[in-house]
Amino acid sequence: MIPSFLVSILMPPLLGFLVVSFLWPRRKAGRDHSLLRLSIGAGTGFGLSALAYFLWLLAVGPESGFILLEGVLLTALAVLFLAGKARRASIAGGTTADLTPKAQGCGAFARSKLDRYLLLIFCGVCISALSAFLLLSARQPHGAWDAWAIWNLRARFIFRSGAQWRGAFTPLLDWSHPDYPLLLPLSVVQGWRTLGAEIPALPAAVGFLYTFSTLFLTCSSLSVLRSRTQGLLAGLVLLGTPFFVQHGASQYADVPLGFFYLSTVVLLALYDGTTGEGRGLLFLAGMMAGCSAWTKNEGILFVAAVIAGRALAVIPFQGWRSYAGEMIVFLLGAMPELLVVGYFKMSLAPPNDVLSAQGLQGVLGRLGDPSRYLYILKSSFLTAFTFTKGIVTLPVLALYFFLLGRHRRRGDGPRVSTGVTALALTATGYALFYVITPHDLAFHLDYSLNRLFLQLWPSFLFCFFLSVRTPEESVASPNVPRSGIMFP
Amino acid sequence: MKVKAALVILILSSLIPNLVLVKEELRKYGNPCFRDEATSYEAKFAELKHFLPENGVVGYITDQQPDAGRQEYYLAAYALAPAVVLRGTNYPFVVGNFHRPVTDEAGANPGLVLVGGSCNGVLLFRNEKVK
Repeated sequence: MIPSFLVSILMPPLLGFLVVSFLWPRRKAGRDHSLLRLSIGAGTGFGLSALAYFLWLLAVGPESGFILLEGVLLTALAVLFLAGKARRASIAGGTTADLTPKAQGCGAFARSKLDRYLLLIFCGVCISALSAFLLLSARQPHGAWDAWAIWNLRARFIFRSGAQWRGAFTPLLDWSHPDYPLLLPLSVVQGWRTLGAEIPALPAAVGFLYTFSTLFLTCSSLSVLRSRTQGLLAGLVLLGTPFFVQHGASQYADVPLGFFYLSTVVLLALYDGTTGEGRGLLFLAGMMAGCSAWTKNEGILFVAAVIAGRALAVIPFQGWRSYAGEMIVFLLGAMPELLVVGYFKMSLAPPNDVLSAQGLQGVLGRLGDPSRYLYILKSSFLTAFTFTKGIVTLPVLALYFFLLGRHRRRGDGPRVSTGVTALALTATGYALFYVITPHDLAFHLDYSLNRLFLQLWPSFLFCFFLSVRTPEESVASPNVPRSGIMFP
Repeated sequence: MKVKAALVILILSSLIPNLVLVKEELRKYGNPCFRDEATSYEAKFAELKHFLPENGVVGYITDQQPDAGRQEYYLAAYALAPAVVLRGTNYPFVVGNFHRPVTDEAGANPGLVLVGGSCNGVLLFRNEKVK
């Protein structure tokens, strides 16, 4: 049972890793980016697998056979990957000149004492977080409330219903939100199909992969873009967010959604560091944004926020033409997921409870009520201080920023501002959604606001540590600029 | 000095909650007060599943108020999937989930005939009025 469990859980991430490796700019591919590609690949694999499985369900049905298709695809990609690697090695004479520490610049810091201590602390905290995750998963094998009431319930319906799988979207169970996108339930269902049995450990394993991929993506991306110390510090803060670890184990969709947000923001930041040869990164960023829409409804808003955020970051400096060129590639990456989400929403899913339960009059009435805005602002302010369930909250980060200062380097503007603008626009969209909700506002905020903060948290930490000086930089040049506590 | 202070603040404020979380989870693990409701419901409804039609709609009655019993209703729906569990008795089969000794539930709901049940308060009725 254990080997087949490992196959079912590791096959999609492996597929994702190979897809990411193919799209990764050749110059960048190498040993030091493996963790980054692996982290992005894990989520990509589940996203693409769930997408392919949905199309398989529509075209063929739930009969077995998908695993064969996946196996063939995996083998073909692996052969192509190894062949490409061997060819590149022979061209470069067995060396990868671009990957020397000198060529990588900030990606490969000489290992300082601080670096070694931090790595040690990080490993200790990682083991501790892993223990907490395993204990939580063992105590709640079916996950927390939303996991069994929404995500795993949907997976169960699809898996157990056989040919009647479309019944999983019955409007009779409107409390279980049958209109929610299917990335997470289908990731679980295809794992169960591979295993041939409904194993409760599988949703927990999917949650585990998303949680720790988010962690390693945060660390590795900042290691590449800034320094390893910076990556480890960001990772420590994420691990020191108990709500993140608890929620990863709760089998909700918020951590996977946060993973896709982070992947998109990271890939766009990496793209900004290339000089035109990184179109694959842009395509991957689109794919990740599309996967966010395939995970939760909020992801649809995020896609729009990224498109708008990118416009604000690129058009003033590089013009419309450059922006349009980027967006074509980005949308090509996002298109498969967006088309599938569109099809699902129009043909299978019942209407959304928030949008269908009110008329235009009700929406306008709520939009014109200032007390709702004030209430949302007040709740958001309070939640910003408490949602982590830990010590590291916005004031602690503000103090850290004040002590270390802002990182300033030419060309870093769009890299940070795309992410920050996209996150700010997404947060604004969330706030507007609360303004128009027909449900009791206090209940709705109590129930979900901390999770919305959590969705944005890894991407926020990435942007934060991209903007703040590294400890090494601060020691080398201790004059902390007093201006610019805020992001650029 | 500033850098050291910043690092100490950040590292400690990350480390402490992480250790507290593990300690809390160790305390909760194996403690019956923190038992998993979904797992309990899986066991509670395990036998009943074999008597229910697959993919059909079944009714659900309980001796709890709708608000108080919301979690239990959702858990029953989760345990019995892919049967669609709906509150009410207008269905050929009705599942009862009771916390107090059942005296005459069928009497309170004319047409319901007790098919079977277990000592944990889960009963299955057939509704004679619905074919």
